[in-house]
Amino acid sequence: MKKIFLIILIFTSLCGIFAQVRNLDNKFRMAQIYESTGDWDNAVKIYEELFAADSLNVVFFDALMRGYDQLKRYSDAIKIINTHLKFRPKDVGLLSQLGKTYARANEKDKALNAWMSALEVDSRNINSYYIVANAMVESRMLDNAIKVYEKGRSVLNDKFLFAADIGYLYSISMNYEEATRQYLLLLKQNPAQLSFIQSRISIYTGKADGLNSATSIIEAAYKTDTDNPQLIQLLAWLYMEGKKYDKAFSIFKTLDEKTKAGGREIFNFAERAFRDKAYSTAARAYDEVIGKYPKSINIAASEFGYARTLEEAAVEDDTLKLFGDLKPFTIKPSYKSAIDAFNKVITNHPQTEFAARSLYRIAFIQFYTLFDLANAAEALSRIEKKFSNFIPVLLEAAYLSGQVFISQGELEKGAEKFRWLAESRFAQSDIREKANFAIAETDFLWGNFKDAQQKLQNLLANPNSDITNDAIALNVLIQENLTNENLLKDFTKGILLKRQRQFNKAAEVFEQLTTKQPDADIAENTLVVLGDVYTMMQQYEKAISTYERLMEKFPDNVFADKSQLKLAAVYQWGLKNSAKAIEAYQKLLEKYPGSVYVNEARRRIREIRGDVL
Amino acid sequence: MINKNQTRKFISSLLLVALCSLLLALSSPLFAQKILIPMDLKQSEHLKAYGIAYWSLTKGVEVDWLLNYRGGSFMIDNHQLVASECLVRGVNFERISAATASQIYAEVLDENNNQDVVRLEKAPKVAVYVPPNVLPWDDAVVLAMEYAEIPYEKVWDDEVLKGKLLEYDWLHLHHEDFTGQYGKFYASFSTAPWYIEQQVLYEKKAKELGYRKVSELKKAVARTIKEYIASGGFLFAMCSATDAFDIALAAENTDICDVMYDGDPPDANFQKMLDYSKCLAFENFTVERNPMRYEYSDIDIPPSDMAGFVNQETDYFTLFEFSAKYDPVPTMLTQNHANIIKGFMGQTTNFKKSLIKKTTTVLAEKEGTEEVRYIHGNYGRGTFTWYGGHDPEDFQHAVGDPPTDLHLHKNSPGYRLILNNILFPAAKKKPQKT
Repeated sequence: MKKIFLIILIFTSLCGIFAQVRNLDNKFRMAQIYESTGDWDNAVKIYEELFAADSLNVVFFDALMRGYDQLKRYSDAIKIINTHLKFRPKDVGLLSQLGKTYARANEKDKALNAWMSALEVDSRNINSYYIVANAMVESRMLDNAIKVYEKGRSVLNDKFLFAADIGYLYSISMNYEEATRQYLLLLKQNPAQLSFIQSRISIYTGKADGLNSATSIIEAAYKTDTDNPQLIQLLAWLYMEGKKYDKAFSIFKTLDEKTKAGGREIFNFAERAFRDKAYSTAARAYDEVIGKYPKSINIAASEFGYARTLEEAAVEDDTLKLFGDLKPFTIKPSYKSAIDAFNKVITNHPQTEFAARSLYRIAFIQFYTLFDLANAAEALSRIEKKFSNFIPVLLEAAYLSGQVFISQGELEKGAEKFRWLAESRFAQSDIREKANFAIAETDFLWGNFKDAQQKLQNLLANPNSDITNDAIALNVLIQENLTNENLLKDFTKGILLKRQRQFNKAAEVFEQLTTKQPDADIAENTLVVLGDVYTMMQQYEKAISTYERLMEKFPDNVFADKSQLKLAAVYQWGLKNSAKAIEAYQKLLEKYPGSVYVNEARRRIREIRGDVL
Repeated sequence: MINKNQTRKFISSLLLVALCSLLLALSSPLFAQKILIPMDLKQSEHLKAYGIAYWSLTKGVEVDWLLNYRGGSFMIDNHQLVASECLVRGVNFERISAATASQIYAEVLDENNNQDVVRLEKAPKVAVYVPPNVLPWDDAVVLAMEYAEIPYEKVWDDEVLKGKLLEYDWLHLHHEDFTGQYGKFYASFSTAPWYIEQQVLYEKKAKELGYRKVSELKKAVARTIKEYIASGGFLFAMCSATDAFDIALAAENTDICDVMYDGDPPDANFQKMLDYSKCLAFENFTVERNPMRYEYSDIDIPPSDMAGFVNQETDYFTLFEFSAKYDPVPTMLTQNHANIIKGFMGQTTNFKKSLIKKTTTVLAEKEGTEEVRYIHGNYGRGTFTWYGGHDPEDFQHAVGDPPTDLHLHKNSPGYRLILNNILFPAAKKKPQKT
């Protein structure tokens, strides 16, 4: 009987327990439904009941914490955390959560105390610092998180510990100096992390203060550790980011030396500086390779690069090309050092493409800048004889050679060069088109106008070609003046003289032409080139009166706006009369509002006025 | 009997009087030779024309804004300086005789024409509310002012809260978030360096100025700007600065920011706690609860919620026409050479018509839809004008996109609406016709 009673009792108790558990489960599910609909008030009521029924249940605890958090019932949340802490006093996560809850309740001191307690649980455990610091970051207390990591470093006696984390926190706090110091520590500890560190630092080098801070810190570190190749690389990278080419050059030299690169690092730097148009630094870098590493595999390229930097440094920008290839207002720069440097390449590296290219550059300078036709022709002839295996150079040289012949008055020889180029199977279409246009132009200079027009027809058919506009202009000139062929022939004589830079003779021809037939169509074109010729002769008053004559006599001529711009340029740079220049530019704006030169005129007025553009 | 000599003398005297009268008439500003800057399709530089009007005011030259006359043209006394500056900036102008000018004035002032003259007297001092950090998007108003060469100064939270706004006639807000949710970029850009930096910078500023949260600081800034309007300031806002401003005002006593924005969850019943009476333009809106959704509220109708597919080719909105003589302010704000304007999107592209307060004037809308694009209203002694969308010449301006080059959009009708707002505070107040 007793046994039966005992069995019934156990069975009833078990049923009760199961019923109770099932009841709790159901309640929990119901609370979850409330939670999912955002009805936190009802959800929390049930979670509170559940927690009261089983306060050690972690699931109920977490759910109730969530609820209190949503309803901002921080004091209640703190109470239940403390309840759990009685059972789990050394739970770092729980203590950390207590800190976070105090922080949300805006009780900062209590939050800090809770977090300190968390750290004291096991101060030798690295994870405690991560847990607490992360909780602080979540509570947007970045400064405190940094302090926690630093404390960990001190307790664990490892000065490199947490460097990446502290560095990151400093960088997002915009304390770029400290961030860089931390990344430096990381670099010292693990030099292989250079790329990672560089990527971390690059987060803030896009900003001037970030770049300056990083540079100054790495510079200071470098002064005390000049043999560290990673540090040198980092500093070199920062200098290049900041476009501090001189400093970068100095550091690249060191890098090259320390890494025993045999000039490779300096050469790479020189190439980049050249591309960035930092010509003087690039020249010094190339020179360094040449002087110090004569056996470098990059020696020929360095010598050629050196010569190119000297050449480019002497060139002036003239994107508008108002006077064609002529630059009437610039002082002719000295190309002697560049030519010497190119000659050195030819001597030191004969039979190489660098030698061929150097010869071409010499010819280019001699023709376009110095107008030394004999020396230009000589250089080009050497390319043809000695470097015919370097096809691209040979093609460029052939075109230049044709131009030199034309300027020497040897039109047939010039035409022959252009014909060869136009028929060459190695030449690209753009080069062939250039050559075909030059052939037509030569016919024009010869006075074979019909032939010239016939050759221009093919070029006019291709609207995508760079040469089409020139072809249209030449074709129109011929077409408009064919009725008076003799006058056109006189005009071409003047043009040829101008190309030969015999400006006095050209001026005479053009003056005669305008006197002989002042009303002929060709007079328009004549006055334009006559103005240009006077400008080249620095006879600025005559140039101005010629342009003015053009605009008075032919107010609707197609060159009027361009001539007005030239006239203004003569005032601005020739006579250096700013007031008159502004007046002339304004006249262009007023008379030719649809001209393609209006923006340039506006820009120049503002430049003269000193406007902030 | 009057002899011949006397007759000659009499006629000479009459001629002299007539000549003097003519000279006197020509010397008065109304009848002197004038410069007319047309703003219709004859103008090749609409945006820079506003710059000329502004520049003239800075030189002490008054400008007459001829509302609804040739697209809202400007009439200025014929000073050579003005003409030269027009040439330099590429603004088309016409030198007109005193007689032609008086004809134009007569036409504009004619009761039968929906036109009027507004005298612009003083160059307004302009401020732009802009954070000190660099953000990866542009500001259409700053672009317009820089292109039109209209000077402006930058202000941020410190200046606003210290009362510096009272030094300015006009304040502009663009892609700003006054709700403290960092533009709601969390879902897409929470790991981007600019986003992280922005959050830290704003948090620091909030602490520095004595606020526990960024949202609290921003709400205080919004309230101060509202006070600035009440005291006579002109506010112009675009894109998200419009609805975010009103939401911040409505949420004065509640927390709408989720944990990733201010470190704690929003108030569970924040929607009920919104106070629409504090808003300038909107009411009865619902704040977006999802912190990951790039929307603040239902004020804006995002493309995803629109009935049809949003197509750049067909997205246009229409400017309303107002009576120039009876409603000069909305007329000024809608001056244009086109009344159908190309649509453009932003975080806040439009304003839902049903949520706009009755006291707010609708200036432009997308016809046949709930979408309002341009609104204006008065508050206290000042006014506010809000323009939906981010950049009138970039249909969908994405984060990181390069700024629009206005040299390619010199005649943009969308940008003109911005510049109308800048000149509007320069207008001399006329007694309202009743």
